[in-house]
Amino acid sequence: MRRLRKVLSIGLVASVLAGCSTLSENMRVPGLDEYNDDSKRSRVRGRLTGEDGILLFGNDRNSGGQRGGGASEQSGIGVNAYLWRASLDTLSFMPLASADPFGGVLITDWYSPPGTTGERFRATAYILGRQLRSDGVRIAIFRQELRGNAWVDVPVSAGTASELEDQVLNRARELRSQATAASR
Amino acid sequence: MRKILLGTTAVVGAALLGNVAQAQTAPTVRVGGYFEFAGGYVDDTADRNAVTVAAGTAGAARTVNRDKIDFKTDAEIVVIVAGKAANGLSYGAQVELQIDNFIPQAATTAGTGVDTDEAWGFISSPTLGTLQFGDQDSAASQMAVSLPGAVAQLGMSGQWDEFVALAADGNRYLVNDINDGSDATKIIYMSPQFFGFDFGVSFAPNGREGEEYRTVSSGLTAATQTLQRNPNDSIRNELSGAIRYRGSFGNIGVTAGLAAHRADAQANNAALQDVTEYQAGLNVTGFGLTVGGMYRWGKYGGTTRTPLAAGRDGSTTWGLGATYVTGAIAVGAFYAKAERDNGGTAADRTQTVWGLGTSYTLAPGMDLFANYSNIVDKNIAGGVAGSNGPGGANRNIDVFVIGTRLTF
Repeated sequence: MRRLRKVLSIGLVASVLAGCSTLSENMRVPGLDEYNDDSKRSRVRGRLTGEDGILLFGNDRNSGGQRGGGASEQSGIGVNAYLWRASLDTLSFMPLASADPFGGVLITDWYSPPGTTGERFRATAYILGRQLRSDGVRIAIFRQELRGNAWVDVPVSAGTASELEDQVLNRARELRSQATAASR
Repeated sequence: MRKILLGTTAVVGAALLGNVAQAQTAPTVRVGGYFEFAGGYVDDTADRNAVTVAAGTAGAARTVNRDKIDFKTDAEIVVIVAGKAANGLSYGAQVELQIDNFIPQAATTAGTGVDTDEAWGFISSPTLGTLQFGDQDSAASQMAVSLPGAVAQLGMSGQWDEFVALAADGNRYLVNDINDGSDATKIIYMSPQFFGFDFGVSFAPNGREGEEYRTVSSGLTAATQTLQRNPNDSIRNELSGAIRYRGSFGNIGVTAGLAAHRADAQANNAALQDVTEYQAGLNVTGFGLTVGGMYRWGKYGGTTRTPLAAGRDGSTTWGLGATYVTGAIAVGAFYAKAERDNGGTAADRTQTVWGLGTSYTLAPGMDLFANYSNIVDKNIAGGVAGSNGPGGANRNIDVFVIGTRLTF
């Protein structure tokens, strides 16, 4: 019975996650540029300044990657800005221990998912270059379990790291498309 | 093993939820805008012998034609403010300053005055949708699906109208999309998009925009003031809404929409009907080619949201159009026809317009464009029956426009 309940709960979690991803993939809030604009300005493709208006005040977070997703010089960091920001966004649910935007290394502190006090995770992300490429990010996951009073290293499911890498790449793609849309 | 799976699933799940966390963005202030120069060649039957030259040193009194060639400039400066709060809400405002194309009658003022066009703010939630408020186009106008053509700098009435004289009934063009709410101060809600569908609604209590409206003809007093809350002043309780679908099937993109608008007529005239307008549109895009059509119908007069006199039938507009974009070059064409009931036993006014246009993107943000429009008007109310001269009921117009527009 207990076993059955466990299987059911796993099934429930899986279906809720699947449901979330289906809805989240098909739901979004349209940008302001997706509505009709009767201004003559909106009928010209592109902008002479390369971005939508001339920045008078404030910092432009999108200007770092408008040149084919590869530029990182403008953003002042040593690795691809989209992958870096995507890694930060993706791993932000864990406490950060160290982040080096020049070397492209991001190390989290130990983190226990809610309800599982007996195990904890730690992640390390490496951004491998200045280009926005699918092999531009590597993530390593470490897992420990509490046995008695000591934390013991235990193996991690093989797909976890690559799933997180997929999340980073998806987020990077989102950021890039947002920046491209903003510069149109 | 199951425990490993469960634990690692929780980590990935947490990462998924973690994506919702939004980075705060300090507000930015930008200035953008455009400048346009256009030259027009106008051949209009209503221009023939339209101007009277008084007797004097130039000779006896006589009538002459209007000139066929004119130039015009247009410009707009836009201030754009945008930021994002730590809770994920985006916010901002946009104020557009335009060179107004209306020159006061009986005045020698140049058409170079500057006033505000749209001026509005917004708050957008990543899950709940976007709220816009201010002097902004209605939800119906922002989401209606119309003819493709913007990319070729070609619109049903967007290129030729400012080069031609008013018709006898005061309307230059009838072919037009659902009214844009004339920037009356309003609130607008735009929903998130679910599986390609989204909708919007907007409400304006009256037809006025800006800070305050009171008629000031000669000294403002308590007795002479007309507030914008006065039910005699303008149409009221404007409610508009639209639903649209955007999706792609293979390489074919589809956009379809239905937009609607209603408003109460001015309270001081029982002989006016309340305004209703509807517009259905469909665009299909693939391989650079976009083909689309629109049909607009309802109880509206004039060019836009003017109430119809009691007893008059509804108005209609329909159109078909296509654009093709290849590299820096876009070409387009359209055909559109509109009808208005002239009341009583008078025949309906009809306006038929077709146009061809092309634009060339010289640099990102700079277009050169040229277009030709042919307009045939029949049964203009108040016009001289059978005449296609000035003040006549019929009219034929050819307009050729060439120009450039740069945006920043």
